Amino acid sequence: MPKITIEHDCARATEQLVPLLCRIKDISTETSDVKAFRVQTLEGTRPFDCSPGQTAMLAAIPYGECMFCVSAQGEDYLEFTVKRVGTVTEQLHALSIGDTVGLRGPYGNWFPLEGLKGRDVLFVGGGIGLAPLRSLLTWMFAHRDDFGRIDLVYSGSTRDDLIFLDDIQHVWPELPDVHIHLSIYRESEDWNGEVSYTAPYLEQLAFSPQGRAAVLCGGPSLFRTCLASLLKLGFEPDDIITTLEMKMKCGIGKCGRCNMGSRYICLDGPVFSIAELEDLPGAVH
Amino acid sequence: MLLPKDRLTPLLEHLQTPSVRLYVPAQAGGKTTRFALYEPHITTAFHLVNTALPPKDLLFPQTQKMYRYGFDEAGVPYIDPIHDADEVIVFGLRPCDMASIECMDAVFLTKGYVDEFYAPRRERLLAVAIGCTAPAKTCFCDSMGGDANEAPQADIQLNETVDGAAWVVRANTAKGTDALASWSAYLLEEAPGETAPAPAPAPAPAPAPAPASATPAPTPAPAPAPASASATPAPTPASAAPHTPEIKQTACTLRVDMTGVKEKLDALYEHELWERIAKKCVTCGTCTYVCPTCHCFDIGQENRMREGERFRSWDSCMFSNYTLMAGHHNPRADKMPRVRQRFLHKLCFFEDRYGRSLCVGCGRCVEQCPVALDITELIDEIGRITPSASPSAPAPASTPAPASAPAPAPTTSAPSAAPLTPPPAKEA
Amino acid sequence: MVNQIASEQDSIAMDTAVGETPLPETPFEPRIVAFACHWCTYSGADLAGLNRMNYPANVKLLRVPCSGRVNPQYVLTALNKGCDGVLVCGCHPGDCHYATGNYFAKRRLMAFKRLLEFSGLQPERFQVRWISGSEAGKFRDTVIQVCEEIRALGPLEGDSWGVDKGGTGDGSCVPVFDEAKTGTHEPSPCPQPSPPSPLSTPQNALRERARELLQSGEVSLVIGWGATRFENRTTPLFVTQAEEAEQLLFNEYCTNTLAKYAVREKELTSGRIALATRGCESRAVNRMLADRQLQRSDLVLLGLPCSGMRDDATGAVLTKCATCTHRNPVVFDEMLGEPAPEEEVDRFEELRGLEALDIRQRLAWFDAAWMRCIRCYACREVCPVCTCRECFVDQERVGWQGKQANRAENRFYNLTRVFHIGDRCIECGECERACPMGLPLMALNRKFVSDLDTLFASGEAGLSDEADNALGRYDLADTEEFM
Repeated sequence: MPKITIEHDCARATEQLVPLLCRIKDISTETSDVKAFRVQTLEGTRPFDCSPGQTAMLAAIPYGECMFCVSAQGEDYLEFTVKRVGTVTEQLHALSIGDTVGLRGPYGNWFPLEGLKGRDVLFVGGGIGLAPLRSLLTWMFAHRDDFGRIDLVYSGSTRDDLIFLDDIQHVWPELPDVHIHLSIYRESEDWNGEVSYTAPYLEQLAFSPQGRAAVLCGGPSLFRTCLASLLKLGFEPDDIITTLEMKMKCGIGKCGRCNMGSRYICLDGPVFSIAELEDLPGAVH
Repeated sequence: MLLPKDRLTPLLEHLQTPSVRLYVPAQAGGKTTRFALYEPHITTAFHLVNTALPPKDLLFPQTQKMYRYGFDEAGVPYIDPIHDADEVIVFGLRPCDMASIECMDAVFLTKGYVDEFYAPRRERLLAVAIGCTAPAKTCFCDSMGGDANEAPQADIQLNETVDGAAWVVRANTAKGTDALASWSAYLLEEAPGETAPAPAPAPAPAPAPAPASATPAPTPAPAPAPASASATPAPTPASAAPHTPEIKQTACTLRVDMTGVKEKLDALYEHELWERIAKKCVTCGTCTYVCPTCHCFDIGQENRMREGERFRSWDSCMFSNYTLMAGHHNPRADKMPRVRQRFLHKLCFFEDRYGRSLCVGCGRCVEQCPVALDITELIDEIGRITPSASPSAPAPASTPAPASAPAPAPTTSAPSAAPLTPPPAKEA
Repeated sequence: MVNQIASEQDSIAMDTAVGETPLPETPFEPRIVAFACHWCTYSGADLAGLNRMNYPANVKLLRVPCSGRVNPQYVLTALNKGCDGVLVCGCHPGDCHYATGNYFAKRRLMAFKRLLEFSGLQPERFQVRWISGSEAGKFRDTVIQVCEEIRALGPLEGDSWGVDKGGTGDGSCVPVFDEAKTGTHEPSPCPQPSPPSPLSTPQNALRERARELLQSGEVSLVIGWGATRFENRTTPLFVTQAEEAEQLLFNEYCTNTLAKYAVREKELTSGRIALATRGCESRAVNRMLADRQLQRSDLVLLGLPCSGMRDDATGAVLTKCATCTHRNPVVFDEMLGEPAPEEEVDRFEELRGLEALDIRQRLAWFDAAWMRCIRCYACREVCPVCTCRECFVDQERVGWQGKQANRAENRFYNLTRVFHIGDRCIECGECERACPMGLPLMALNRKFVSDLDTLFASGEAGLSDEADNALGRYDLADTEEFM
């Protein structure tokens, strides 16, 4: 299999620092603290084109702005999946359909669509970490013939932490050669599936690295443990793709805070292979 | 061309017009010196080697409003960008300041995005640099690839003549050449009393014969500026070839050896030296705020009812909440990773990305750090590490202190710093 | 319209209260926020309304659970948001619903009011009154009177306090400021620094004891001073190996006060820490013991006599040392050298000079200082009594402190800093020494210290390890400056 190459140094934003005024087209409540917002321009069009994995800065006027992955895009909207964790996300959650938000982007790079072609792809995600993966998943579903078997290992602390549950349980399993493996960490009455942390579950499922790439996204501990498991299963660092999170302010590689070694996550990332991260001081640790 | 020193004030008054803001090094109260708007009553400070605050705020203000937003009377939301760049002349930059502007240009004008708030300010800036004559003890620009005498990126460069009575003026850029046209009334075509014709093209002055103040340092290669004085179209061409008098040449007394430092740092991320260096750091933002090249910023807003302004403001990687994310995860919660980030960014990461060091050797952080945490000592220490050492091996020497005190600085103490007179007692 | 301030996050409430009043028209109508205790004044205002008493609509009431709940930062926030004056109303002493809240409030607000006046705010603009639930008439009269007084003063922004934030950050608004006018701040000039002369006996003893303590394992770390590449400059030094003890220095350029380092180092080492301890370090240690930042058993204090440290550039005795009242440690485990003779100093000399100025002169003086502040927080970081794990500045969710560097925000930071540390300030002067912009921070600290001493006989801080800071307690017999 040829090496997966990931584009870096991607400056594609149409709105750099000053946001575009947009309107919330639709809101869906995924869990008690996660909502998905569909955002379009005031004219009712899609704000900009983006590739799976790219990010954008969504602003709750006037409270501030935060960087989110575009979790899906439609004809006339971009979708952002937002977990309520801080001031800005709290204010975003308080908005209703028709309210105005600011939006700028798209920032950063995207998943290596070409490099993944012809391979089996294993997705590993936890909690809100499915949001960035979703954009790639939906893209793959739309170009189903280009890829081999698709597996999703997805977990959360409880059932309530699993987002897009409707898609996961009812829509995606019906697609050809798509296999979903769900687990939660704590046993509960409303759950009759697997109860396990992600990493042991991943090892138990014993995916073969042969002709397969892995895409990993989750919090720091999930990232650390699952990465170790993937390496144990024999995946090459070149074949494990991840998308990073770091505090960001400008999105255009100037403000400095998402700097990691010679890279800026907002410009060169957020998508990296583990092999690339190993060369970035501090990234994997 | 020459600018006699007694014509400086008339020239400044001439340059300060309603449409142009003129900034000069000036006293600003307390210990503060900075580039301040020229007004007749301010105390200019052209004698300073470096102003305490760097000139970066002229291009990258500490607080810069980016746009206003809100809802109008009909409830319709609006976002109005604020673009407020004026024509600015900054008069009296030092060569290191000029090099720092080059770093800022790399950050704000390259790598895919041209910053829409920086670019117009940069475009409307006329940079007038003055070559140094007596570097401070903390100056080390020539170790960082600079030259205390030359500011090739400046639009106009001034160098003091050996007799100290005037500056040799030359334009380095087309913009500088244009600007010089309006200075002509204040300039002399040739040195008074000088009659000997100069060698026809005199792009750079001959090396000065041991100036009075400086040690006979190795004369830095007199890099000819792109546009030399002779190339400047003089408004009234003199019949005889103008003679450029000799200018004072100088060099820094503080030297560090940058050879191999970047390459070593590539492998030193996990080295124990960072914890040792970080111990004394108090994680204030002084070094980053007085640094002419530190350019990190935060974006915030100030609201009032249903409208507000979003601004960007200087931020510092020394502050704990710089990398604090929503949900309380902080990859650099302790001070050691923050100190490491600052030095690695200065000496290693920036070079990877932009091909040059982010330290220009101005010495401001060395001078102003409240706990005397000194980047030049760090560079020395890195130099002493053998590249083959395993990442966790202890460094050979922990500080440059010799065994006995008073500790004369090992390599670089200023030669003039040992007066014999005892200091008078403080009168309480 | 009444808003309740339930938590710090409700500065929005303040926004609304200030914003609802129309912008000043001609003739000028002042905007005033009154923080009213829920248990007394708020009812008093209600009663005034029920009795159809007329009082000016300029005053917006913000209900607080107790006058003790009125954080001085509320007052500064209100002024920064455009109020022309602030009124705080609480229960009469003795009547507090929570028994003691207003006694604490009285102490804090008295000291704070003096600090505000010192920094240039006319006293009429910040007033405190005790108004019970039955004193509707007093409430009305107070509001009328405060309103009249502030109306006579005119809008606050004309005084550079309010919404006119000042400064663009590009140096264009830096006022020119002549220190000579006050003549109190610059150290007396001294043309040339002299080379350091090691204070040989104490230095040798320090090295010796450091070596012994490290060798015997009694301590695992010695914190002292070491050399830099510049002859007249020292730097904090952390010695863990006996053979490195020779690197310790003690000369007249040991400008750093070291005690605060012990707090972090204590978390990193298992053993005890030996600290080079002069008067300033010893008082800092005492204060940190009182604040439970350290335990005495963590430390071995190696006492050093000090006759004042010098500026490495000018050779002049540091301002902080010229006003030092304790050149010898007030607490130590062993003394390494003969005690230095203590000198009679007048530490409030600069302060009296400033107090003698007209309030408008002081305003201009401090405004110039605020404009210079670059908010590097060096003053906070070196302060031995700034020990909060999270500073109010960093509480971004609460949003006390905006990140803009302008006069209003800088003033907010600097005055709040003084209020937070003022009753524990050991007057070591590290903040002012560390300030890269030379802000007159000790003038503010000393103002607070001096007022607390005048009002509550608080004395000098850090002379013992008891938590006796004046704003952490109250006395029924406290003076009353508000009625």
